[in-house]
Amino acid sequence: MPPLRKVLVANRGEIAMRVMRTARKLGIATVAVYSEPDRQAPHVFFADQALPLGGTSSAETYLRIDKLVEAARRAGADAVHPGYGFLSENPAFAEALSEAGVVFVGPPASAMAAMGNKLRARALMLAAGVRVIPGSEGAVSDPKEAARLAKAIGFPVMLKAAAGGGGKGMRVVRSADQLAAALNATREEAGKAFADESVFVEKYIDRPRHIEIQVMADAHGHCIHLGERECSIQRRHQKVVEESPSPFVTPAMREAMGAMAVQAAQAVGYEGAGTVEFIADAERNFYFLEMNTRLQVEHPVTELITGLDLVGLQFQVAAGEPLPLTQAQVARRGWAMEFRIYAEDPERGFLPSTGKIQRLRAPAGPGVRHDSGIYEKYEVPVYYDPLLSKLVISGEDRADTIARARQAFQEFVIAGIKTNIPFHQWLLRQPRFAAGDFDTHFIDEHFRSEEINHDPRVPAVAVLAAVLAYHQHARRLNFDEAAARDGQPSRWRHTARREAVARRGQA
Amino acid sequence: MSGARYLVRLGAEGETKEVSVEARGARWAITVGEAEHLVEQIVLEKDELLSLIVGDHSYLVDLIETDWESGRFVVGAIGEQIALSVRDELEAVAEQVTAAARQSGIFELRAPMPGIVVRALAAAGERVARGQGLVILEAMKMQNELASELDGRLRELLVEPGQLVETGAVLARVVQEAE
Repeated sequence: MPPLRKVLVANRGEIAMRVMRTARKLGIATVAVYSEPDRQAPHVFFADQALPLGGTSSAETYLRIDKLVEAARRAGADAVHPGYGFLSENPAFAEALSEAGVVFVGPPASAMAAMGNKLRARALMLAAGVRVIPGSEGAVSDPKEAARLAKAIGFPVMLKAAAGGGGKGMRVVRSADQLAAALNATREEAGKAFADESVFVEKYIDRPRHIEIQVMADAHGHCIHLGERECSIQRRHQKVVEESPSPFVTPAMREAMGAMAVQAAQAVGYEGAGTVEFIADAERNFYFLEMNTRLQVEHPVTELITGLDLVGLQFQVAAGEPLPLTQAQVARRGWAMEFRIYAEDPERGFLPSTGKIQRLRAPAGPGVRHDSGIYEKYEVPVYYDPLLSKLVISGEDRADTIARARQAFQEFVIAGIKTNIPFHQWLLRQPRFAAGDFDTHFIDEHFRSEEINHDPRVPAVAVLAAVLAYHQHARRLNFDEAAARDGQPSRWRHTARREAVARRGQA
Repeated sequence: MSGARYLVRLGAEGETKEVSVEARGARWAITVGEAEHLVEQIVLEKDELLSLIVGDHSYLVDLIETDWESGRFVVGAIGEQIALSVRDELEAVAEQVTAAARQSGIFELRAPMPGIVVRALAAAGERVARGQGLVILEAMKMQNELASELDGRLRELLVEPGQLVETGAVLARVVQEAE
């Protein structure tokens, strides 16, 4: 296969910019696509070519397979990188591109399809010897059957509506005597909410940590893993902070998780970059959750500790080249943390915030990387995901990384819209976070919005600055008003005019 | 205290401080309560970005929001942002009087951001409690429940499901009712 010459990035925001940076580095020409509100988005200016998709919403634009395939054809792109989200895990998109003779920078459609269906993926993983959360193999309706299963699995168990999702239709049962009533209630709820009463029983993990393994596979049968990422700092199942390594994972656990992730990827004939997500309990037992068959938002933390360019590796694999390194050659050094910058207000229940970014000053210095999809005076559109950028910090070790992150956030200014920067600053002050002692419930259990403002110097300086500004403004006004009252033009303006006249006289 | 006098309030319901300002040579003498600070200022961007040297401590200060009419500011320094309001003494007294007169007992639910109305959670005429959700508004793929800030009766519901609303649009009105 010849090397790639031109790639269309079927995405927007920071990830479109991130992908294009590596493409440029490799001498691959870049093509952006954009919705109508995204004409002003930075990925459009950044690309060599830019094609409009027409329409506004995601459904009319970045989710339209027909429009994207046509854009790739028109631009003469020989590859499409899907980024994350949108169509990145859609097998039909990969198939449509392949029919059009365009390389999809991602796994084969069959691997995406296999991992895309939770039940099928679970069955496949069981067959491949990958450890999954113990649970029923099918829907359960009989309370006796549920009781037998729960006993075999061990309490607490979780009752889960088969058609549910996003935390809905789930119930934790801690002892046998609560089981029958809970089963009835869950079935009834599921019937009402999803028109499907099927319920599964599975083991409930009390203090879960979300830990994932980055894998990378080529078309020649090689598959390696690049270590773990700790993603337990989440809110409403949305990751907020990720790091690598995990402060919880031991070398033995890493090795076992890595081997199991590779096993999972190979079981579906995986190629390219992928992530195998695990849930781990307090005793360091870990279970397969799902596989994300794409590049992850949080891939930079793995890049910073391995020194690899994951997008570069994706392009190499997509062009049919073998992986340039073996498992033994994967080196890991130092620590890295990613802080997702969302347009949301942590002081008001993380309500999304839109509007114009009036001011933007990103931090700099050693170990500071800012993957951004915004610029000063950029109008954040209401139609898409609220992720603005990612601040990724690396350091010698975890303590050094946290110290650098604290410093970086002191320099970071985004104004005009609300962001979760104050949340990150709060997090970086928490002793339990510093100690690595947290699970996926951490934000829900510990975050208090009234603890956001912290530094006593800030109100003191703000009072001085605001009073001074107000005082000077009032004096400026008074001067003009007094002058106007006397029937005189303002002396400031008068002086300015005299100088202008004098300059004109000299010219 | 000498010089021009102001009242400064931190946050929405924070404490009020008395502050006076006067020019002293090339610097400003600013007295907050009992403490006097000598402040040297240069303007890096007019009404936006200042460098302050307070005593000999140096601060880069963002004036993020400036409403000269109402004296409301949002100020950023050392990585944090804080809201405050500044009034001169006379204005402050006059405002207290009008604020009392304006105690109308009506709460207007306004859209905090542009979005699409998903559904109403209460019907016009219904009794509603403070904190009770009135409307679900979708913005940026997230559904947000907007709640009443008064105990009372929902007098008007001004939007319908599917309607696109701009920031500040009035969605509903609640009238206070005695128990």
